[in-house]
Amino acid sequence: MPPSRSKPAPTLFDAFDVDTPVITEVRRLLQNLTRQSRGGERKIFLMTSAGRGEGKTTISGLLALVSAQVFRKRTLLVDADLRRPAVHTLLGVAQGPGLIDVFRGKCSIENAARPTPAPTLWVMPSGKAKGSVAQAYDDDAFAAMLTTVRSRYDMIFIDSAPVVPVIEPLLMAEHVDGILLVSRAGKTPVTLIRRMKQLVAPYADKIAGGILNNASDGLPYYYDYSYYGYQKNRAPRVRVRREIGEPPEEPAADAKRPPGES
Amino acid sequence: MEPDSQPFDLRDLLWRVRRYSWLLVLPPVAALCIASVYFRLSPTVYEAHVTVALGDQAGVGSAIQSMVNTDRDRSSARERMALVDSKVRSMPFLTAVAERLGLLEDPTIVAMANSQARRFGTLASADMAIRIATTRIAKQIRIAPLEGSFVRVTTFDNSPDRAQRLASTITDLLIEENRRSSLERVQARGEFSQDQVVVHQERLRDAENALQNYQESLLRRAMTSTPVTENNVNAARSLILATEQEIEQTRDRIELTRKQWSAYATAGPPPDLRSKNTDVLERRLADSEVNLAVATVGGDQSSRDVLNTQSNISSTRQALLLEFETLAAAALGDLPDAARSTAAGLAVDRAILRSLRTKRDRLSSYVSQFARGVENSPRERMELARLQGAVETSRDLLNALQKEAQSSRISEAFASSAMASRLTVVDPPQLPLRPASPDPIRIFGGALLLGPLLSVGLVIAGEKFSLVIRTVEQAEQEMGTRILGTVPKIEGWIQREGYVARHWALLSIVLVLVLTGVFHSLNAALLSEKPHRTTQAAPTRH
Repeated sequence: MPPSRSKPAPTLFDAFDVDTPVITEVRRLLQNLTRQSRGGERKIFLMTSAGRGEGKTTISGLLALVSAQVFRKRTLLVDADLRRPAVHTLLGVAQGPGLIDVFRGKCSIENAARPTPAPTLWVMPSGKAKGSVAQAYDDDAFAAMLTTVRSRYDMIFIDSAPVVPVIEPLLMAEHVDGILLVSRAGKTPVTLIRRMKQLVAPYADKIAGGILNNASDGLPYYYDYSYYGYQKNRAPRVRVRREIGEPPEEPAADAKRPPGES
Repeated sequence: MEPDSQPFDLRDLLWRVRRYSWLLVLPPVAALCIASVYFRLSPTVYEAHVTVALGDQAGVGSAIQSMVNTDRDRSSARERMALVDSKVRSMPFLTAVAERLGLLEDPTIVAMANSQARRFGTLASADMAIRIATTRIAKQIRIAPLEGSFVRVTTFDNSPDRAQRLASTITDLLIEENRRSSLERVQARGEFSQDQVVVHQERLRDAENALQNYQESLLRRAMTSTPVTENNVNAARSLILATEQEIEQTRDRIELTRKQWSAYATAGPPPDLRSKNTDVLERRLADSEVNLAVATVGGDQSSRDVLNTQSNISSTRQALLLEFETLAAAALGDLPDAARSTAAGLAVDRAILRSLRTKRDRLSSYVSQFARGVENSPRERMELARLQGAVETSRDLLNALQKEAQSSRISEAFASSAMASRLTVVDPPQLPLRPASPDPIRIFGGALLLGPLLSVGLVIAGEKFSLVIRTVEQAEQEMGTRILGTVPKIEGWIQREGYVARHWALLSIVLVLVLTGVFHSLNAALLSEKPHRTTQAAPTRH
């Protein structure tokens, strides 16, 4: 594949810096999730929200990246938002083959879950849907896929569609261990959140908690990280090659072995 | 124990306000831009002011001040303003202003009037021109009260010359109108006063005649009335008793004399000796007795009149005796002298008895009159007082009317001159050098004030009536679950929102500034062409 002349879009790897306030908060969030995992029983988390554009994909990617890079856990990030897939863009991987191909039986789970520059992070993009997305989703295949990956990874994050406009997140919620509800401060309407609360009420026992995105403005001034000497808009420090299909830099031999093959 | 209210934290407040930084900037910038556009679009208006004083400003002495200003205006400043305002905005006044300014022949107004007249068809073109001109003038006038008796008349126009001319015309007409109306008022007052003077002169004459007649009647009654007063009424009553005793004594003497007569002449009763002389003497005796009684009742018993009267009575009685003796000698010549003397004595006693009865009756009538007078006195006094009051009232009214007529004549003299005008110009209209509107200080000051106020209002409204999730506590309450973590705003990372959505505030400000700049540029370009057009336009009359 010839290299692109245009400047590639920045990915999550470009700006990953453990010292940044964002990663600090994500680490804190992941620590809370780990404590809730009841000794490793809860490892599959579904990320959903009331509406679109609230940061599900970004937070899913951050959680997966921190889980892999900081906590050194074998982590799988699944893009289950079949209508508006974005994980592949966020992490700089090809959109297909992916989850839809697994549903259709055209691709194995091992092939769909692809490695990333982070040694212990694998990504299963959505794949390219042809025709109706609702028909493309196969609940049984999804459940079987989760059963398969459960034993291979330590943490699995599923980035799904918003719960209010579409049905798939609720179907997926039947098979996951925990549900994380994302809302965006200063954007998500209260009425939409109330509707989401009604919809996920049957799965109340699975709701792990909420995540408030873009919370800087809603927090007191002493949460401003510049207060501690950080700069929010610091330029990305990590530059990695993101060309699709290229191997990650310095892959650890142990980590790059696909889970399940050990 | 936790305090009920959290302490005020300025840094926390500033931190919260920081979220609305663009919202704090955008309204002031927009307000200033709108103010600049408004300032440019607002037509230039010049104002000319006239300060007029209502009331007598002439140097009239205090002696005639009250006579000249009998109808002096003591109304409040607002009432004075309303008076001038109603006068100035009246149709005749505005029509006079329009005529004097030549607006009725203004080509623009004439053309407009012709058009309107054709459109409506009910009014003639000239009437429509008057209506248009007066409406236009009325909109160019503002009247406001000042301190004291001063009123400010303000006229405004796009041209300073026209503003000043309008103010001057209004002032001139106001003064003329005021002088004319003052003259008419005092003339009417004078005519009315003169009419009333004639009427009340007649009434005073009638009242004085009535009083005079009554006083004369009282006087006549007093002249013919009793000499008995409340001081001598008891003396009069005692005198009546004494007279009655004297009458009894005289009767006894007559009875005794009659018995003597019966001894001399057994043939019949004593003869009635009477003649003209005896009648005269008898009347004189009665009058003397009455006069004596009156003098006695008067209290001066030792006066010469009383003594003379007593002497007259004695002499009259002697004369009567002699006369009766003469008559007895002639009538009773066959009887002895003693019988004739007895007959004469009897006749004298009878005459004395009649005079005493006259005296007693007259005294009794005097006492009765006095008693009646006492009874009628209050009524007479009241009637007298009423008549005197009527005369006094008529006289006072007449004096007042004569004074009013006099003051009217003086007022008329003042009103016909410039001295006593109730409306004087304190500050004549000046040519305005600077436009009164648009006022840059007011417009831009208002924008500088309103912009931040609008910002604060929007921030408060955003805080109070927010319909979106903002805080962790709010999110937990609405979601019904615990917030496991918060992710700060990720700036400089992946921005999935479009450029406009991310920079809407900055773009809005830039857009406002650009639009304002474009407007001013276009406006300046148009203004640079305008002088060419205005030089070609026909000049207006005023």
